[in-house]
Amino acid sequence: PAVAVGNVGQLAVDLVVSTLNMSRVGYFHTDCLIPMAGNNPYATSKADAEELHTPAEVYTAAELKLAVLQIRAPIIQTRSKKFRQQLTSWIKASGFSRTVVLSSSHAYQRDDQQLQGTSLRYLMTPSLLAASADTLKELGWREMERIPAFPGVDTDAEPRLCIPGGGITKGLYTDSCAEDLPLAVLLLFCSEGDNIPDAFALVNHLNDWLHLLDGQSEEPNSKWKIPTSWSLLFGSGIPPALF
Amino acid sequence: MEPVPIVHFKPSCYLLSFVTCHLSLGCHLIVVEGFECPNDPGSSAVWGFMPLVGSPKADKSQVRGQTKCSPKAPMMIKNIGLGVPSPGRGSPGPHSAARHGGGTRWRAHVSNDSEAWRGVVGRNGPPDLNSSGVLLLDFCAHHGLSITNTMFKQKEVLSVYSRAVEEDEEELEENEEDEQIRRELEEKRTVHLHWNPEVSELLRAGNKLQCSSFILAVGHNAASFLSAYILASANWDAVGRAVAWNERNWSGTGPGGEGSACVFYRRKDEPAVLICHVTCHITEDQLFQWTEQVFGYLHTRGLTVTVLSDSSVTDYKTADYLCSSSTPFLRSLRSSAFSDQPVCQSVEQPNIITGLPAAVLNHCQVHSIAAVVYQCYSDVTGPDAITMDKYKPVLTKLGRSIQ
Repeated sequence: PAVAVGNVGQLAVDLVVSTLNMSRVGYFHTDCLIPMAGNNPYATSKADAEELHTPAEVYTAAELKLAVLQIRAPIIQTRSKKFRQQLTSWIKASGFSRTVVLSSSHAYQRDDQQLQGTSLRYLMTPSLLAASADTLKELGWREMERIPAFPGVDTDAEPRLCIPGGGITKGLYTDSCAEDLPLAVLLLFCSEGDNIPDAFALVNHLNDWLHLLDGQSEEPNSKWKIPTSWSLLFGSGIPPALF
Repeated sequence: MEPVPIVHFKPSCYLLSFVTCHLSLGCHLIVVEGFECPNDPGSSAVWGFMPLVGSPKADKSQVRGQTKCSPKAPMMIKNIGLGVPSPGRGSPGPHSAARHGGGTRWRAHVSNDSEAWRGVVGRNGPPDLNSSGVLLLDFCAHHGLSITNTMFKQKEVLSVYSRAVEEDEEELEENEEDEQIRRELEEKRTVHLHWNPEVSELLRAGNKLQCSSFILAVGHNAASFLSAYILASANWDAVGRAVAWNERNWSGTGPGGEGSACVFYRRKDEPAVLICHVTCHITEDQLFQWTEQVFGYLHTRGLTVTVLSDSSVTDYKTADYLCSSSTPFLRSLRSSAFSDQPVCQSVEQPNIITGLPAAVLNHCQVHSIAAVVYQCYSDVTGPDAITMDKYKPVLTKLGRSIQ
């Protein structure tokens, strides 16, 4: 995921890891993330509840040939470029056949054309685009528009890619284009708030393409398992003396 | 009386943070302040009244201020940005200040008279006076301005983050001076470890410190607890200190600075037991470095790390409201290699640990070192005997190594 507005990418990854019962295979130990530690966020029983988890970890589901990197902490501001470099080297070294970045962007910064229709967008690097053109056509996905840098102010400016609130998404995408990595970005427009529905929207969108949940029940939203770490997202219980 | 020309900063959608700065010029009160842009309520505009300072090309040096904001930045009164925007690099027009991403550079040309300011006293006197500060003072001296009230927002790493994320800044073209300032600041923030001569001698040969038990106290109550119950026995030598300069504990630089040091103690008769007191603030970007450096000096085979850490009960989330009778309380978090039973229950979901205890735990988890953090959640922020008492059960676990 990219650490982005509403943490939608990270929530979506939580759903994937939790539902597919993925097992942790490694740590992404870096100085670019703010340190944090906690017990197992995907615990299903008391037995595995007390397992320490770090800010960035890799999980796999071997039968699906899927590896997932979950990032739980903000990237230190001055080290975002370094973090992007570490990510791209890791992607290259691991030899993934394709990489998908789940992300989000500020809904309030959409321009007129982006306001209409679905709020989901995709981006693909040239090498992946070549291989997936047919699938994209079938899915009917909408590519992220290029917009002028100063909408309404500088009408002659060349439209370019802007992903406000997307954290390192744009940087990662441009780096991957430059290094010819097969990378796709799936993002949606959202605002801060209760982003759980956004996470579901994004992960269902991803599933339409990758079919991660083949063989499970058809009803949407019930097929994804919410991890235990999602409790109390908006703070503790209320003091009874308040009322 | 020379009329004071009025300079308008054109509002735009991507606007700047702004300043409140009162300069008195004889009988003129010049106010530079910011408020909401009339055309776009979501952004803010700066309307400034500044005396023009002569031909832009004639003068030697520049006053430069760089400010940053997002379109929805709240009124940031604590900022300083002086200057007349002139067609500098990157700005689209003489008096507009618009730049995608929300940053801009303002430039004004003033004469240089920094020699007069060598006598500046106070916290920001030399050598901490940076070039921007010197230029500001030059500007005021040149025009006979007296600065009555300024607040300078120091560049700092904020420890509270909102969930909203800004897009990566466009890679700014930095000039040499900027780059140098940035590099110097980064070097200043490097963590340094200083050991006493005996230990330095040992480490110089490329050896590491033998250590079976490393006890770390983070926070005043934890450190005071260790001082009272363990270090008071006078069996301990201070063997080193770690210095981490940052904007929150900048009083005192170098090895002598008390405010920014973490002190290491070792038992006289049992040198494999190491204690460290951390009572200063270590910023997020220094945590990893601190941990790597300290553990770099330790032999980690057979090592057990115990961390005592203070925290506020407001950081703890539970479904049932915590009434005051239940605080303070202790919770633990351990690495996978820690096979012993902690003295209290584990941190419940969805709570997490941050800061130095988290950085230490991460390191130990990744390197398979046995480590446990005991975090005491208290409703009292200062030193408190009741909070300190909560750590007592840990003594039983530490056992013989500390007696």
